[in-house]
Amino acid sequence: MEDSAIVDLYWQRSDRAISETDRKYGRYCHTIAYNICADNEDAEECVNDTWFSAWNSMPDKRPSILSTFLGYITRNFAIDRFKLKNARKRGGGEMPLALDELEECISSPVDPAHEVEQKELESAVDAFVRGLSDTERRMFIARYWFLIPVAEISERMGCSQSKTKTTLYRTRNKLRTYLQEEGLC
Amino acid sequence: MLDSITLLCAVGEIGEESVLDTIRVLHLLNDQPHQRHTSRKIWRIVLIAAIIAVLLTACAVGYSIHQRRQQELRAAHEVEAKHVDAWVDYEVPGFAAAVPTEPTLTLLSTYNDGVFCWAFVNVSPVEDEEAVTSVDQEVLENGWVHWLSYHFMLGGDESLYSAYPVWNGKGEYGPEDLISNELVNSDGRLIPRVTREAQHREVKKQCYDPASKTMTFKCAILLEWVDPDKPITLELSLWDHWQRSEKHAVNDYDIQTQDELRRSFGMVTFNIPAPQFCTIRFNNPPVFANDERGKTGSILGADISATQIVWHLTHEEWEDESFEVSLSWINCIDSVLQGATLNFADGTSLPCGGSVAAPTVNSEIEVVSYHTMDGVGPTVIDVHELASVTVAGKTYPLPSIIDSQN
Repeated sequence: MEDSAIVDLYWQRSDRAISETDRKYGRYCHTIAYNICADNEDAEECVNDTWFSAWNSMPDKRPSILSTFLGYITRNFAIDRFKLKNARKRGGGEMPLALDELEECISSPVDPAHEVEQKELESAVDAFVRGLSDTERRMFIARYWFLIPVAEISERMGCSQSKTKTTLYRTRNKLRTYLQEEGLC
Repeated sequence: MLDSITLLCAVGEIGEESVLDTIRVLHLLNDQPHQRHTSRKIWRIVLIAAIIAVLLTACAVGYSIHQRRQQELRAAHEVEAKHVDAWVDYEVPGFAAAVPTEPTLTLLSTYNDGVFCWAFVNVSPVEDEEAVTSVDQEVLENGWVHWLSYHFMLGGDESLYSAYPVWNGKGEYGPEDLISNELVNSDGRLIPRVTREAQHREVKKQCYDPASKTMTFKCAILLEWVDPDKPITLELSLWDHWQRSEKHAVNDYDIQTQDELRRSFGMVTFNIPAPQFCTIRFNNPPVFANDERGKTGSILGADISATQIVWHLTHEEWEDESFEVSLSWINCIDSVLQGATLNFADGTSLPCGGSVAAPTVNSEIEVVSYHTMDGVGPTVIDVHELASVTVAGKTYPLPSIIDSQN
């Protein structure tokens, strides 16, 4: 079913909106949540929370692309759940690994002098990502937006794990330099 | 305060078009890694040329589709050129002009790359519409949503591997690459692809021959999940799935589903071939200098399998994980391994340099390089045919324990 038809179902307050969303995007959202939570039950709950949130937000919202809209909601629920459930660097899954990797982009993790406005940081990261090459940008988003394991990114992009790891490593280094230049870390 | 979680949250605000581009290119909605292709255009051309040449030859002498496929696979993997003895071709029916009428599963070839056992099988008869793969997995027929799936079962395990070649609703054939798949537990729950459990039964559609109505699949079996001393059994069947929703009243829908076995292609049984592996350890590791740091590093050795080489290196500053030091050593090691080759007894050689994947927390740094033909595609080598390895400007003879002072 087309996205617009699914959104119509939400606007009509039809129960079928949820079943059709789950049918088309259930596995996709579950994978996003699982990559972060590393737990099937948590992932399932994040997906259910996502459907509930989507139900509450439509109407008024009318997202044109459901994949990013739902993925964004799922990702945030999963990160919140991860924060609640896991002490830092504990537990399995991709989240602790991704956080470790992103730590490299930060010169001083606890420096009050570098209090960063979230919006300013978001704009800087978005601008940075837009300046990357296609390959760098896709690998970066796959790893740090979707938290997909390196092995799977390599397979999906048709390159070796070595290349993916190297590209990600160098992109993180670039991000670190960029954030420093912007005075954000 | 900027911490990594804050940064991760900020990444979540990246523009929608960039995220959408990634979803599209990486086929994330399909929950299926896309076949290697972006950087493999040259390899594809070479492969297609080789296949055409083999096809022409095969047709000329009247080989069966099974024999033709075996020859194509051997050519694509350079089995002849590299004398790969870990590759096993099985006895297959000879020339047969008629399209088979009975469902048939034919085991063509297997090889063991040290991590996976790969098995190639032919399936027939497969009608054109059954062979199509497409990003759209369903088609509307008389009010019913219809789709097909090939179910694979390995070793009598109750877990199923499902593959979906389908119509795309426009009467067009989709790309002949990876088909979508999912793994289902015996209780019906999906196993996420991110688990290793889900990765060990990769099945890829290789090609389809409409004349003989035969489709070729490539199956991967993760060796650590099976007993290499016991035969592997592979079963395959084709299923029809139907679903429709009937509206009785406002917000009252009745969803009907129906699954039907279209046909079973039977099963094949085979033994996992012995792997090929060679370990190099330098008694006196070759030393290289990092002029930028004024320090030295050394090459400890390498592990070579039929599909890849893993270099083991270390350096004096391996404990220093700072950005500047790490980057300096990455560039240095990249440079040291550039030009490294595996040299075969027949005088041919294969590049095997690789790049540092990431800084290490241990004293050893691992650099993985997959064997490729001129850097444009995967290939399999016969490890037993290796004569020497060249690295950092010097050539060291094999076998495995090497004194670099020789």
